[in-house]
Amino acid sequence: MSTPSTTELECRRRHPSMRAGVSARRLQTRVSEALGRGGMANAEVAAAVLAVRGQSGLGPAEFASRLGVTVEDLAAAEAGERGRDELPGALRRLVPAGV
Amino acid sequence: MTRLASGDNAAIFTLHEYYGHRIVGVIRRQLQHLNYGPIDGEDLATLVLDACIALSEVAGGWRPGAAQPWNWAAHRIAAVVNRWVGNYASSLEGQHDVADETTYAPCVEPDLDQVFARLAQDTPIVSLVRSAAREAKLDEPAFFLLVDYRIHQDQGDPSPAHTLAARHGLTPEAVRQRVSRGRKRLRDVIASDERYAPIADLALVA
Repeated sequence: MSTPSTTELECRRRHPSMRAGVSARRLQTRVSEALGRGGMANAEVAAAVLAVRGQSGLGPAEFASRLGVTVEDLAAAEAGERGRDELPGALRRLVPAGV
Repeated sequence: MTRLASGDNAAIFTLHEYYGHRIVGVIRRQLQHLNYGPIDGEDLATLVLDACIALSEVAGGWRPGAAQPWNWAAHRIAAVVNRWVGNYASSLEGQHDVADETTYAPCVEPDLDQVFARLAQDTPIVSLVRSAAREAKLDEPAFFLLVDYRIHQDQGDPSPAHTLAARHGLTPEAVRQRVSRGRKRLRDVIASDERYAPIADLALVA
């Protein structure tokens, strides 16, 4: 499955059946809860970072490169190994304050 | 899907973001299959989320070159929809508002026996049932317990005896015994008189 074009993505965002923003936040919450139930520490941080990378459609290496962080830092964030304040700036900005 | 199967948790967001609209198609087909009416946008979004999670749970079984994931796992998505429709409940708030001060009585007569008497006059089958119940010496409470029990069974109540016990001031076991006895007496009367042939297959005595 190839990544769709920007135009196609925008059309989907506007489609009334998707309401992308609200749905994405709800999915993030669901994933955060599931990760927490699985015993992950900092599940909300992990879900926030995963959500942004997932919505970008990029794999870990390319996403980390675009953000200017190491793959190791990204992996640690997505594994819930770090709290928000322990993340490099580029990753910390992906996580809402208070998480 | 390959990324999901390999444990990339971000991929569920990719699935939702880029292919959610495809999943919407599968969902709508299942809703149509269930003859479900128009769906609220919020509810549809919820179903899409649930479907994405359901797909992520089976991602390991998908292989590149197979059908598109939402078609390959259409039965899983259908199950999500079926569970949602089965659990669907709409708020009653506002649905029974009336524009004026008119109040509506539940029925014309003050008690159920009179309601039944009116129905018996209008509908031959009901008249037969009433006659059979009298011959079976089922008093009003016993007869309506029988009817109530059957209604609950038909509505899918897994334990009508428990539901009705409190309402009728009985224990669940007493409800079952009275229903069983009442059915038998009604069944015996119906079977013994040709007059009651039209109601021989009545669900009430099944």
